[in-house]
Amino acid sequence: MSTTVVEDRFAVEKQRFLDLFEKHGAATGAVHPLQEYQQRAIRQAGALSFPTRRDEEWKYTSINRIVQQEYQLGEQVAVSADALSPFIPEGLDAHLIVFVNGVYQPQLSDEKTLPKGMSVLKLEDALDSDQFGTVARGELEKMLTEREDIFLSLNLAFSQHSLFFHTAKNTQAERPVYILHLAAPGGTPIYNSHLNIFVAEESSEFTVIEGQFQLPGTSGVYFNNLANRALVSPNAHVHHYCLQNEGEQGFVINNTDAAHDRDSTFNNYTIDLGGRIVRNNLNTVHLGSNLTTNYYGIYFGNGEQHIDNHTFLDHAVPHCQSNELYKGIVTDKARGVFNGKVLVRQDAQKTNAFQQSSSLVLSNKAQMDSKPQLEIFADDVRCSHGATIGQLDEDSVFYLRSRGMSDAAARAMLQFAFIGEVLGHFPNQAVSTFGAKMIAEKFGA
Amino acid sequence: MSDSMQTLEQHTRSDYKYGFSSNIETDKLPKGLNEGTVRAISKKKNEPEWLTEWRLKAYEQFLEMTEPTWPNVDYPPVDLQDMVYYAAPKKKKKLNSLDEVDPELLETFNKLGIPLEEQKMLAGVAVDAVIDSVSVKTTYKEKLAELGIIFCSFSEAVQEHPELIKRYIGSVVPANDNYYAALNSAVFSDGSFVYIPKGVKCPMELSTYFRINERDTGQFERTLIVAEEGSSVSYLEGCTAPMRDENQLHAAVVELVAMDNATIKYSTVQNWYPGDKDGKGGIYNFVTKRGLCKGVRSKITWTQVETGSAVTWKYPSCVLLGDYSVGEFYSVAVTNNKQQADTGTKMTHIGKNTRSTIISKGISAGYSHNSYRGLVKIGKKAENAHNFSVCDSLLMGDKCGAHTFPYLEVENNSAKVEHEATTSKIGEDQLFYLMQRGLSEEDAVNTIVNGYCKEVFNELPMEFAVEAQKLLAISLEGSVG
Repeated sequence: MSTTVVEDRFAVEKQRFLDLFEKHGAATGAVHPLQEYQQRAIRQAGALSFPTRRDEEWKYTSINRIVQQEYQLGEQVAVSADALSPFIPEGLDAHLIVFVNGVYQPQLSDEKTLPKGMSVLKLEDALDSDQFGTVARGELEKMLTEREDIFLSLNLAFSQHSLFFHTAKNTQAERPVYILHLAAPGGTPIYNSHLNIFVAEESSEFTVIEGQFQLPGTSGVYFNNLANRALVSPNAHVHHYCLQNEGEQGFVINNTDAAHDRDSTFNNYTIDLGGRIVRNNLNTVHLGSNLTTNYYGIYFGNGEQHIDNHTFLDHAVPHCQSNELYKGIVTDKARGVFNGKVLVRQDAQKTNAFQQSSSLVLSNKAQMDSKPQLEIFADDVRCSHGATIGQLDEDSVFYLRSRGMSDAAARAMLQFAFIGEVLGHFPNQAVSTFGAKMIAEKFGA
Repeated sequence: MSDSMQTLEQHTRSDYKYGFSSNIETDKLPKGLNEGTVRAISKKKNEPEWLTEWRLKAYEQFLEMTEPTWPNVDYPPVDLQDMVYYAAPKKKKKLNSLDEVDPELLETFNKLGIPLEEQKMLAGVAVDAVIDSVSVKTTYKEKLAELGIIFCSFSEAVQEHPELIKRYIGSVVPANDNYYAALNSAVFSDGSFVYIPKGVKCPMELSTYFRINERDTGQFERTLIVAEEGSSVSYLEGCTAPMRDENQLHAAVVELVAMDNATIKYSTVQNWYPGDKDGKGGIYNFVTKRGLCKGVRSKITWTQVETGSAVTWKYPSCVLLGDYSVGEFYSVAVTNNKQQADTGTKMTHIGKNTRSTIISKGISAGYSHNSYRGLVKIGKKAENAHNFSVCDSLLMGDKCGAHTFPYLEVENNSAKVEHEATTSKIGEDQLFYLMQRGLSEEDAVNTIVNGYCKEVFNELPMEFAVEAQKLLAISLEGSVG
């Protein structure tokens, strides 16, 4: 990220965020460790500037629309337990944690029944505890120093309801944790920050599902600035799902930073269907050898949506492998962006890295920008990437039509088959089925 | 492996094969760049006023630009004031035959392996030899003139065909296109001009050899090739430079214009001094090359074999304006020792039913860095555009780097864009197979690398393909390990 911008184009917009913090964050008197971090984060945000399209990382995505709004923090909105059912995958047996407008809803959540060895705490409690304090502080410290990203700084600065997950050594959590973010926007634009820190100790395993939806019957502008950090210890396995179907005036910036150690697995499964402007930054760094990173992504944009997936894999040690498969469709005036960077450092011999990004551009006004990027400094590696941008095969459409299907049905079937391939890689059957349902609904719309 | 390490050492210790400098008297301007320099160059070349104005305008625009920093290369800043912008071998008299050419100059060409005398009879290649910015001798001109083909130095064309130059100069690469193109537009010294009239198929390969000779002279070549309706031409460019300690700048501009049904094939073998094994010296090769497929069914093919230069950044591009036009880019880029290359292409599809193909093969050895950077842009109105790209990288040794930065931008829903890239090293099994058949490790590697580059070499004219294979072998000698 470039910080040497001569003139800050978004100086006014940035000041609004600083003022918003002044209004809420700084008001409380007692100084908790979390607040110290938040103070540092807002100072850092003050020193950084919002990226413009002159920044290589933001070449295809303008944040202008996102930051121009005058945001307020989200307010508590009462939601009944029944209202949640459309957002919960059928047959999914999970520990549910619900946030509405970024505010934690204890009455809707049931994280009390977690198995032995697994803990989910509020971040401020984790910072206070003897057991997790050190590791939680370490993660926040890294968050502030590793990357210079103003959205990360703003995320931490406003992270009131952040969570800390921990699985102790050898803990296998069978039931996944489902974090449900519901947006209930109204008249004023809402800004939500949420941060999750996942720590998997040696030989533990857990699945976490993030769901991001807008409550039906509400409308308005909102901006979800989300961040996830995962620290995966040796031989631990973390499966992270992101199901995103925000409203048409929702903005999403989602930063996921994972670091994992030898023999471990980090899997990310992303479905992006909603939102006006969506930007996902998915970064993984390798700390030990013989580990596997998998990224699977699906996106479908219509209307005036803008969906930008930035992924980064840092192969820093030998004998690791990574697989990446992203498939997406853009139609109407939607714009899709895929930027997949794979860095193989000098010592990372015997790396196997595969990346494939395929997309369909279905209308004349839709646009797809793809930038697969390999940077390789080691010689004994096998790395490949493939990127395709195209349309449906007219012969296949004809074949289906000759079997009696309507043109629309035939195209929908082929489109579904195109992105449905990725769903096949989702190990959780309930989520995979739910994803298919979400996609089918979007095709129908 | 120890054997190969020894040969590697031998190679890296070996001197640049083409490193010599000839003592030809040159007439040059003092160091430095200012408006006066631009005027002086223009005056020395006796240019018409409009061209002087054009240069000055480019210079004004240049002053407002800054050097780009985005390429994936690292080099000390170039001091543009510490450079000579014009160096021409002193004209003694007008030359009519080869006998009158400075014997030392002829010797230079002989060392380069382009015997001008023999070229006429043997190769059938017309050579427009450019040494330090001014064309000394243009061979075969008369023969080509019978067909109406104009093949001469740029400054000659300015004098004799000003209407053509005026119409086409800057039409493909505008003077303010980029930092180095603007610099070139302001101070370009000479270059080649080719004009193929309507319906003429150029009967021989046109060729020019560039050489940077005078110490501390920047070389600012400008090439313009215009192929009228239904014509075709194949143009070869070969480059070598003597060994010098300081880095020398080469900022050329090449413009190609292809009208309806015209075909231009532009091949480059670039073997400039890459610097020594510690990265000292060598040429900075910052070139802007662009072809405009202006007419329907026109075709431009870029083929390049890049083995030299300390720092290279060039992106031979095609603007596919005419319907059914075709752009092709075939490249082999080899970097060894501390060389850095950031090269690739841009294919801009504007017309309907346009097609482009990109085949890029990068080979990095030693401590070098080799980047492929390419843009495929399908415009809103480019119906049924089709692009196919392959960029492969081969790594030799664990201290080098290979990078790919492909950009695919699609704004039309009937486009098909396919891109694939792989990075690997030479397979142990392939090496083992060839060696157990009796090939030495070196030969086995050469065989594999040649096979790897075959798709590109096949696109080169015969004489060049042979030279390219030799160059590749020299460049990579002993870098197995």
